Amino acid sequence: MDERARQDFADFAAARSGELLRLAYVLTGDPHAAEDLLQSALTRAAAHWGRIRTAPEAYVRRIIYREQVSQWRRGARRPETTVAQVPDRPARDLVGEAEARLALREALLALPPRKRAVLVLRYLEDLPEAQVAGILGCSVGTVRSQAHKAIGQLRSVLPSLGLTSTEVGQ
Amino acid sequence: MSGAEQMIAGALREIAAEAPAPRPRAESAWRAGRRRRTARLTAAAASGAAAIGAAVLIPLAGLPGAPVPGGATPEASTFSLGTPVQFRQVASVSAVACPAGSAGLPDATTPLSSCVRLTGAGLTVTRMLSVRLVRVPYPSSGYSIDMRLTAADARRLETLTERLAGQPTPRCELAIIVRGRVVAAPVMETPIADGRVQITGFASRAQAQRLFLQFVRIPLPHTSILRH
Repeated sequence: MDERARQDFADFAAARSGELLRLAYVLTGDPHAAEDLLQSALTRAAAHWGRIRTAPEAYVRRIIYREQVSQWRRGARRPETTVAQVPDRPARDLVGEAEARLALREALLALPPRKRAVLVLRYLEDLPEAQVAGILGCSVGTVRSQAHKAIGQLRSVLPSLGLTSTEVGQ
Repeated sequence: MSGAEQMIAGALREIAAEAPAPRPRAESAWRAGRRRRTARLTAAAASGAAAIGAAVLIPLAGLPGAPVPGGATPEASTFSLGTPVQFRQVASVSAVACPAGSAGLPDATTPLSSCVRLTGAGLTVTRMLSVRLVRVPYPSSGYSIDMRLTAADARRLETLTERLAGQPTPRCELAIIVRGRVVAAPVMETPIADGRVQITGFASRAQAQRLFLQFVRIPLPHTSILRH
């Protein structure tokens, strides 16, 4: 029984680790932190495998999101915890589309994890607000306000966010 | 999607595409996960004792509910718990929060919503020989709460765990309940015969301490509980 469960788990991990690691990476912005996050989520999945084996991915994804947010919350009080590497910088007039994209990526990686998680769920995973709230364990109102604040923060770095290149040039 | 949202989605996709290739570590995750699950409640005499390093004992003497110093027999030095602890067989587990008014209990062992329903089999413990907050050294790392049950409760727990061992999941799981929350739900692979119960899997001292203080009833500063 346990041997079969172990094989099921190994098959799941082999098949889905690539996709799950991409999720962990976009949330952490750091390859080592992403691996640790995924490993921790897989360990929790193994602990509860009997209950989740029919639909393990949803469980693992939720653990990844929640651990990332709670790790940050715990770590905020610890000076040794890794933080986003990109410091705040003043808004500047961005011309080239490539430069704007690069600035946007940097700004995304500089967002606090909870805000980034909300954006990942809303715009990368394309999930409705209610589902995002369920995954993160917060209210729909919180999801809405976090998304709003996150976009505001991105705009403070990249005022042209959401405008076409023609509009920028005008 | 607005233009801003599309730009954000595109940038996030670009970041995700740069993730490193996964290194297959499923086996170690499996071992760690199963160890954590099965070690939550264990006969500490063998494997548990070996795993425990810097055991730190709360100075129970002189505190409310503390054991009587110089008691003639071990049973005479039991102390009263700050809150009763229940050991109950798990009947079923659902991945949604317990509906209001249901007989289920929330599962505090997972951050996700979960509702644990119980069978009628179980026992309630109000006195113990000892409760200790213990630091578990590397590589298991973390904290555990070690309990020694009275002889009478130890016999009842043995009978109960004999009944659970070998049953299909989740009926082989023994829920440990404190103040209406399931604080551990280990799989019973073998009966617990000696009344030594260890709850492990606490990631931080604060986490273990919160539960520990419920047992011993009194709010102590950190330093008087743990000495490293």
